[in-house]
Amino acid sequence: MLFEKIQLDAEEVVLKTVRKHWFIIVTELFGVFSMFLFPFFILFIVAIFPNLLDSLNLNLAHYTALISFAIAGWSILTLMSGFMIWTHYYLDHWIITDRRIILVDQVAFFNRNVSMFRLERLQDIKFSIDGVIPTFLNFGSLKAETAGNSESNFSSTGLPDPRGLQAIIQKAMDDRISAIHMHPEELI
Amino acid sequence: MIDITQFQSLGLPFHSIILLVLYFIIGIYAIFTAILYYHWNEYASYKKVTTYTLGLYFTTTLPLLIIMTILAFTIN
Repeated sequence: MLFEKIQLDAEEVVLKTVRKHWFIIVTELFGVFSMFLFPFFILFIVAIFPNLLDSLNLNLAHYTALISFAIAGWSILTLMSGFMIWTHYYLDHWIITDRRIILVDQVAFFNRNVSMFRLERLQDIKFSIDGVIPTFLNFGSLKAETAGNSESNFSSTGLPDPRGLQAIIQKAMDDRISAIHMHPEELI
Repeated sequence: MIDITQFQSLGLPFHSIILLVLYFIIGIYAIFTAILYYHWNEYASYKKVTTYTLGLYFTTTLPLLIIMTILAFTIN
């Protein structure tokens, strides 16, 4: 499990766990669901308009097993796509603790990265909400810049309430810096 | 009337093509399942969600795969 891998510090508190906005997964799953229904839709059309196949002189009743085989194969592939989307949605997330930000991100289906950024190293955090639907549903992207090279910057799109998320991170960052000033040994 | 089972691609008999499709899907399914299982066991935060997801995955896909296998051996 993830928390065994991350190993939070003894007094480290998880402030928030964030996944992409529900609209992102709903639109993706809607596409997959439409693809899943596609062969059934074709069969429905053929059942309503049986004359469509007259010109081909094709009787589908003779190919029930073949059609079932094709539909089963198609259904497996679309279900796999659906589970891939769900996996991508559920496993990719930000964990904001009072000491760091942990980013679990899928680079490819074979490759998932777990990155950690100490709050005291954060320099800037920006959010943007672009478009009508994101504005309406309050989701957007968040970009954080850390001290050091640009490779350690991180960003994510489709996050819910990016403004609130920015405020939580900003507050956690300020609290962390204050705590370090009071107890410099914590930095080690 | 058209008999689509008489179409032969690459000189293979129709039944062999059906079996090839089946083996191809089983291969993809096996690789995908292994990766899915690994990722859910390594990166999920809660065991319960992993169990539900993998349970739903197997209960929806395995019956379809069994149906495909049975049909592939009955289609001539």
